[in-house]
Amino acid sequence: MAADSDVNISEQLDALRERFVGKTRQQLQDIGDRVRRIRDEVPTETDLDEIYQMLHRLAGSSGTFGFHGLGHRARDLEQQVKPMVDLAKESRLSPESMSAVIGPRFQRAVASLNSLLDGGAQALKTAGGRSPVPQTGIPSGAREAVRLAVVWQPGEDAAERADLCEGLEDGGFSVCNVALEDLLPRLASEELLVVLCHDSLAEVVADQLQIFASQPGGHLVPFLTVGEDDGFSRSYDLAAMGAFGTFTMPVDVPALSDRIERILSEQESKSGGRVLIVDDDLELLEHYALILESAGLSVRTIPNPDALLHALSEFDPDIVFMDLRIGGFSGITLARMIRFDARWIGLPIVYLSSEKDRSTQLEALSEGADEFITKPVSDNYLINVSRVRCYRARQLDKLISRDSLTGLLKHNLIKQEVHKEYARAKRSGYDSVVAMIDLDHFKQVNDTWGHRTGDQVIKALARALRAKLRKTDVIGRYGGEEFLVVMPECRPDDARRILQGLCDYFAMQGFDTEGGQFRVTLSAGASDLLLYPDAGMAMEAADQALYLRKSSGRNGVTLAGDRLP
Amino acid sequence: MNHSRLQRILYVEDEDDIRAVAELALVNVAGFELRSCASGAEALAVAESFAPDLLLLDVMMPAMDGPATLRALRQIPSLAETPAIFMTAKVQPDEINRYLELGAVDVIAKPFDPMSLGEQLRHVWRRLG
Repeated sequence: MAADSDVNISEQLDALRERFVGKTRQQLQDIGDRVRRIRDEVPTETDLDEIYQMLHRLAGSSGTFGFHGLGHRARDLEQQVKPMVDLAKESRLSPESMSAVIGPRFQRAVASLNSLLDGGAQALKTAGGRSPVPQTGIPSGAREAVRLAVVWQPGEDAAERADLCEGLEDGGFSVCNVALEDLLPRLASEELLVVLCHDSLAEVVADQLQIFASQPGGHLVPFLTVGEDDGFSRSYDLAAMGAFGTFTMPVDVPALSDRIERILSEQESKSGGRVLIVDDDLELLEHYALILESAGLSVRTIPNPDALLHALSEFDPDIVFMDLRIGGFSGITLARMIRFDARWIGLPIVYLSSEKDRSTQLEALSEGADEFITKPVSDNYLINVSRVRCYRARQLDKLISRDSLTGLLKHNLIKQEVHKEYARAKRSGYDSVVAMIDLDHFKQVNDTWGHRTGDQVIKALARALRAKLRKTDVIGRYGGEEFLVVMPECRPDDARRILQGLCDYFAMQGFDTEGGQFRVTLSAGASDLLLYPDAGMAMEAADQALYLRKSSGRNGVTLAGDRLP
Repeated sequence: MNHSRLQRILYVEDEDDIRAVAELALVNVAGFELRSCASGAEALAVAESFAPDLLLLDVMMPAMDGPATLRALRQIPSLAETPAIFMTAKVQPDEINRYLELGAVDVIAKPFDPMSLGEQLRHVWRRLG
């Protein structure tokens, strides 16, 4: 009987879901129309408010019908619109700032919502073999969510499961509830990166994961358990089963999220790795490359050392293998030369050589290399040395807070600085500015002049930032050619003046190469932290301003909310 | 305080789709007695005679929003102490705190999972008892 009513409920849910899809299509159309009106005709507050209301409803309801991706995107967009709705209520909203947010990027994002509805609907129809919600068409900024499988004993600790799933979804994971009997087929058909299971199912889940790992195309998927007992003997059993961790209810979701992120990043750094090999024996080079690539490492081979410095910049290896003698060059001297550049001081260099004399080997090592391997080398040994070294290199890299090329703060740390300054500014009520700075047409520099020259430009910008910004400003390298700057206690107009000074200064610098001289300009977008409900949105606004600057001529500064030419 | 079982729920939500799913979740899945209303005004009209154990209110509604509906319901003497829960798509801590200050016993974040919504309410109810 119970089964009957379950079927009935799922049928009714399906019917409601269909109705939701139909209505949502109309609503998305309506949102699209209103966005177009704001962009192409007269911006009105009614349209803005309607857009906000509809996005808010979608954010709240999509997930209930299984369209989690749509819900998350709608919430992002809702939060972009929210500050303007608030401004409008106080009649402080200018049509210009409205068009600044409801820009091309926003329009694209709205258009892409429809595809999330398609993906979700298909996913629900093919029960048992759900395909992941397609992430195409989503503008950059939305990172692809990590997919987690949650396997639960039906009827047990249901509230806990719901809280957990919700917490994880809010943390940006994509949660799939998987019935135990579906686990194996779904592991095979979709990319589930981590499995989270109720303690009572740990044994069965561990078995299923072992089976999956032994199948062709399978691999060992890490799993964590949630239960009541984390005493020694249960924990020991779980560890013996191969669990990656156990959490007690009620689950500390941030700690769990953190654990999941760590597992994933460890796996990533274990599997990947970049190996540079310098050897003048071409056949040997090819052989090394083949076996290392088959072990999942990326390999770059150089038969001639004069290409070495260029390859280092471009390939950024985790480890270098080198013969003691390459043509007319000495490996020892090359190792010293590599260390001329502070960026490569920590790079592991391993000699591969047939040199058997211990004292020559030791001498070679004393000159700054890390290990000496005597040829012939077994394939397995080479793979293992590479893996261990690459893994260590990545682990160390994470502990280092400064970017090796520029000496500026790395991505995560500069973001933390924004959050800290946001809290300080809110507390004390002074203006502080966050700015996003990007080199113009940097790809052309790399393509035309090579990566080594590109690196010179990035270093020069780092120097210019240090020279032209105030001592108290915090500078970080956000991505390739993108920099993030926090300017504490700085009025937006002062920030504009300082950043404009930076642009002018940098645009005047000439870069000399053998092929001639060139110049590079930069664009900056900035926002006042105080004007946003959280630090993330202030950064988003600065990014948006940068985007506007890029699309309206580059080489200069745009503040969020600026009137545009 | 509350030693009785949770049985009668008064639910206010302006969106038809969500109301329909919640009805399914709370009546068919969880087995509660539910009176659902499309607006704060409708809730005010039926609340006293329905005599709910629990109030479940959407926050963002046109005309009379969730907090306004709660304030008005509190004017009815028999509902002055009835536990209330807000549902909202916003989950920022300061907003949750604001709702709790208004006298709600909990805030449930949207989107909710229809299969476990009832369990969630029972969970809150047990905590109250």
